[in-house]
Amino acid sequence: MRVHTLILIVVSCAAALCVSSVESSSQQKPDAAPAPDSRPLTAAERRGRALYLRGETSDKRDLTAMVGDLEVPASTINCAGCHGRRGEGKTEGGVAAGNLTWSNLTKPYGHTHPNGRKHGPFNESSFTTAIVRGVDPSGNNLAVAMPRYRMSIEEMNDLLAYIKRLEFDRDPGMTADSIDVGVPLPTNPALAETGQAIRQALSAYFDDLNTHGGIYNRKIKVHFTEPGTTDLAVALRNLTTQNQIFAFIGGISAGADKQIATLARENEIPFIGPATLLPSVEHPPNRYIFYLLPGVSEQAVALTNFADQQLGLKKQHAAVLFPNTELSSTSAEATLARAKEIAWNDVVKISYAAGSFDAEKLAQQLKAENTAAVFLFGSNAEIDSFLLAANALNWTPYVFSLGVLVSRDLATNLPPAFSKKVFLAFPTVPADVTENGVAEFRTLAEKYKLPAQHAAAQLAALAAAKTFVEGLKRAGADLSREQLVTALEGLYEFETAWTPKLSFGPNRRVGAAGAYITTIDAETKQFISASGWVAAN
Amino acid sequence: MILRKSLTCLMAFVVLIILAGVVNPVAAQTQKSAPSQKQATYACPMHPNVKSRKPGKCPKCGMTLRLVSDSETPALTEQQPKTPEEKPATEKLSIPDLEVLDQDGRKLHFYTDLVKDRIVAINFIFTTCTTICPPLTATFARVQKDLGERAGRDVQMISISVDPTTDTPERLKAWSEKFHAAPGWTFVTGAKPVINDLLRALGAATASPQDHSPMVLIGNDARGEWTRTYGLAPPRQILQLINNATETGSQ
Repeated sequence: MRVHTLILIVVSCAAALCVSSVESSSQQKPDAAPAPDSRPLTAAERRGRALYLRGETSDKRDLTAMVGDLEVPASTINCAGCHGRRGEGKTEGGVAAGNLTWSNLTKPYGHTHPNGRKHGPFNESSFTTAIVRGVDPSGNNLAVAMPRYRMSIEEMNDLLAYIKRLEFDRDPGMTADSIDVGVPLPTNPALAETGQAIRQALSAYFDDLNTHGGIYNRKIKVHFTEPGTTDLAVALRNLTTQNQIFAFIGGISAGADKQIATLARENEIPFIGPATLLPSVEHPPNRYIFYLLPGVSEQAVALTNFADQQLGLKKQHAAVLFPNTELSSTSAEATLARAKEIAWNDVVKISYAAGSFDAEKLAQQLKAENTAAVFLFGSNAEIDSFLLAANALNWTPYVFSLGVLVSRDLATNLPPAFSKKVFLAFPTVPADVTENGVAEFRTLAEKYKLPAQHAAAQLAALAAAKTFVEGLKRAGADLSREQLVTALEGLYEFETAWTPKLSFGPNRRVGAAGAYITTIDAETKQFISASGWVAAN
Repeated sequence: MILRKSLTCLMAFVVLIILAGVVNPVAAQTQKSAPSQKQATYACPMHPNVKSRKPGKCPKCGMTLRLVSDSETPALTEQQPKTPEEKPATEKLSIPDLEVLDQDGRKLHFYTDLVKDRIVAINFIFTTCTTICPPLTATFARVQKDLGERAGRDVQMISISVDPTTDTPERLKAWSEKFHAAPGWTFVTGAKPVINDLLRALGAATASPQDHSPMVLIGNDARGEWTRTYGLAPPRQILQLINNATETGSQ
């Protein structure tokens, strides 16, 4: 009997606590939801959180869940999977998972479930019984899909600690009236001026947004990495320890792509629009990373698609030439992989040490092999010399490369026979910046005195900011990182007005996955469009 | 003293309520099932516990109730002895021979490569599902384990993705490994229109992956007989249906 009285006291205390916290917050803001408890999670709550979200114990052991008489690792059947990351509950396939927030579980008048099952309020002891033995406070069996979990008393205490905190636990870097974002600036001192331009553009964009009310009453606060740090991943990590960061946006991530992707995945921090030529594509896809523009892989795939679909070269002999540098070999591998996918089988792979390109010899060899398409991912000088050597042999195959590898000189020196036979992939074209985009940038630049230089870097950063803001709008006022990620994954042909249209999805991490294909008119020495946007799939 | 007495009363009352809660459903079930043992009843194909004496619609999902006899809903009445004469409610299905992909990215023809002349158990999942798909798949994994040598040799198990756009073969592969799926269990995806056609043919089409039903389809292609059951039922019940399908095949 004393035990029961005690439980009653505990329950009423818990209820009173919940009520008092609701009251105190409602005094501050009459119409707002209960203010998120901003106190950092205790060690026990953090352990409980890992159990709740991932079924993972503090020593990274997998808990065991029992589904009927099956033993399943709790990592595949964790609390959050069915009951939601915030314990709100959900229904799927006719299986209704209840609301697990402590204030709901301990409602003094108990619960009546849709199937007629009724029980009184939960307390610590009956909660434990439910998790371990699968019965509710009135002794009824829980729903068939609810597993029972084997865990120690300590683990149960951790879980309980977190369950009580669940409804107040919010992602770091957001409050009812603010969202903190981090921006990586280039670490290379040579790019300091570009970094400064990006900094000014993003500060201006968010200041303008904030003066117009922010997003659902939240003002965006921007934090930039320290320019002095040499390692970008370290700089970002420092930023997250000094400030609570909700998401990262924009900036130039080149050189630190893998580390940044890992940082985003491990800390579950969304990263929108890091600018790089080597997007880090992981399997399974890293759902926290959203690249806006194509890297060299996507461009090389688009180039291959163009050669197949618009020039009909698939049945002919092709060669993929590349020096052993990261950019070039990544492009070549992407081309080779795509060729294989589309059954372009007669393709040879020729790699060479950077700087040891023998144009004459290769031209003779490839001509002798009757090569119709040459993918040459070398330097501008190498492509130039190859074209001259082929021209000297009166041989004019189609030549494919990437805009990022060449310079204007290529057009100036182009032999007339190669007019409109050299094709280059570009991630963007000037026409991507729409009239509205021009006007929007001009207004911002005038209002905030933005530098006239580094417009491309500014626009890339602004496009990332705009995509992030679109994600925030779609995620709604009841914001979380998960909702932001899900909202961004739902973007389809989103127009930033400064980039090609962006589409994301669970398997699509590059918004504009494809390229524009450009060719060179030898007569006018101009780059002209060979095709519109070519998708990389 | 008064407090003590009233608490005792309260406790007694609580015990009564608990007892009532436990006993009642059992009593209700026996009441329901006892007289209907020999009569035919109508049951909802998706909610086997929805039964009626006369034809009509299921109050839960609106599906037309199907004529069954009590023993034909083994998912709920496992305690009842099953006589060999009583066969599960079966239906004829026309399985299309569509080109699909398995978890290794191999192209397969759904009917010829996976179903033709085989005993088949099919469930429906998607890999970004966190709610019912893990227990559905875990149940299937247990069924496969219990099938032992028959898995793959006599019985083909298939999980079809209801979200083929997201579920690439790589994702299905990772999913299958999580549940230690053994050979003889094929995870199927493919082009969205193709999978849509396949799901429609199997009666498992859904507008949104989140609305897919936890259904298992068990069939004997040689006999052209198919039966549906609840995917979250205890594995031994699913196994029983597979055994039934095997028996009818050998008769």
